[in-house]
Amino acid sequence: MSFDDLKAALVSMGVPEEEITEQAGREEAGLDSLGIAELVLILKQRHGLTITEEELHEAGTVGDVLGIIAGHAAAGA
Amino acid sequence: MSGRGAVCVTGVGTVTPAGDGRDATWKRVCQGLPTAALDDEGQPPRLACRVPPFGPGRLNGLLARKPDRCVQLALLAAREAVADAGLDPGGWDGARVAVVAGAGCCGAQTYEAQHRVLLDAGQHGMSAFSVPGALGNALAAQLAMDLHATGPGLTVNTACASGATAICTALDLLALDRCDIAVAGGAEAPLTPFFQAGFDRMHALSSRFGDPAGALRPFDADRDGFVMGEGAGMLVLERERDARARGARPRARVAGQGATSDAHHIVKPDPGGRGLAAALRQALAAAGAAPADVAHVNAHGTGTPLGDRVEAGVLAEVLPHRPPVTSTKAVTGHLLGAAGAVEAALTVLAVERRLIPPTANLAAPSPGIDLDLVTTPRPRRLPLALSVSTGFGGHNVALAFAEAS
Repeated sequence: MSFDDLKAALVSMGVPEEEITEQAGREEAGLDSLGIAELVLILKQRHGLTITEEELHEAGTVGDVLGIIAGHAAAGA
Repeated sequence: MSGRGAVCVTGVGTVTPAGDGRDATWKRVCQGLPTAALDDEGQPPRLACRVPPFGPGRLNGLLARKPDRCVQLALLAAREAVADAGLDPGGWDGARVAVVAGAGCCGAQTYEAQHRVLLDAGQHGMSAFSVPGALGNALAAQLAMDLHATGPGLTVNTACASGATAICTALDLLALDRCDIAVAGGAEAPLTPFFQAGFDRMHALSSRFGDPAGALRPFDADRDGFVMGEGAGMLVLERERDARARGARPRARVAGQGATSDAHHIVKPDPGGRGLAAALRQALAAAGAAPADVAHVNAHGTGTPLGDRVEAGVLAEVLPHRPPVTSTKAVTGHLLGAAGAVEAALTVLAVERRLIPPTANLAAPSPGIDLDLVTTPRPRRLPLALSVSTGFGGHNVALAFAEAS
């Protein structure tokens, strides 16, 4: 998954586009606990990726989130 | 109206089928152009009054909190009202700002959509915002977040009187010195399969499918029910002396309020209208006014056969001098929990602009209805005007507005 894919997912959740950068804090980009639950749903439904909410809670920034997702995609999860 | 000083309206915001914004709404209401349209040609067909489309950009990131459409409309109206009052939520003392919102079926669109997901895909398909985006309290909570208002915040529900009840509650908070500014009103986004069908099952809706614009006919002999609509109305209320001190220009003064319950039936009004009459008299007493002082009434006037008859009887009884009466619902549709607030806003504008909007679709008043029904815009000074609201379950509210001095 690319940064643009993640950005598209966050924009579809209603997060303002300008707040989504790789350096942005996770919560600033809309990924508080409820936002993470939404993102997990989108990753499953649109991208076939099974990632747990707990894993994404470890991320500090949007870049970290992307890294966790990329790890799963690479592992063929 | 209290020991702490008169309260005035310094800000008005509305988002209705008649227009996205206060002035667009007022213009179309005064033109008497109904907004009802055929919304669904299914069986049975559905009539509805919808807010003109607005882009998601207007909600500035709030969509990330997945607010139900009811909340979205409330946010737009509240922002307009606060800007109209010349207030800046970035700079005010939020601890002294209260938010009181009213809605009858807040969350309807979210609940229905997510319930469908639950049945089709199970719990893990549901949005995590299904509950917090939809619960009635989301109205007050999201407004408080948006406006940095950390004073009292609550959502009230008196069905179709909710918006008016919210204004009453805000007036009480001001009288109790629990706040200096109150943002109060109502919102509703009820155009969903469940609520359309549910209201239709009560035979509350018009079935004039061949003439959508003429379907909602308040007080008319051929009325057969209302058309549901979505929208929101918000007022900024503050003590007149505070408003003057900061150089704000009040649009109108709040002269009084009255609120009662029929304690009669879960849907039907008390046939004698005793509770509604009592609410009107309370508002007049609070205003220190005599019935003859009332220069205009914005009636509830939903176009249901029984409701209009009872209301007309009450108005004739309490106000025998026959002041000009209008129902703006013929244009806006019945906005349910938002109706009382939108109509309070229109009454404020009527007082300020010295113009009574017309009742559209009134071809011939029902026999036995003896009111001075306004059918073309009528310019007139309005020293005192009433906005009347009732809700299923027998909730009655009257708000009295006076010219700002």
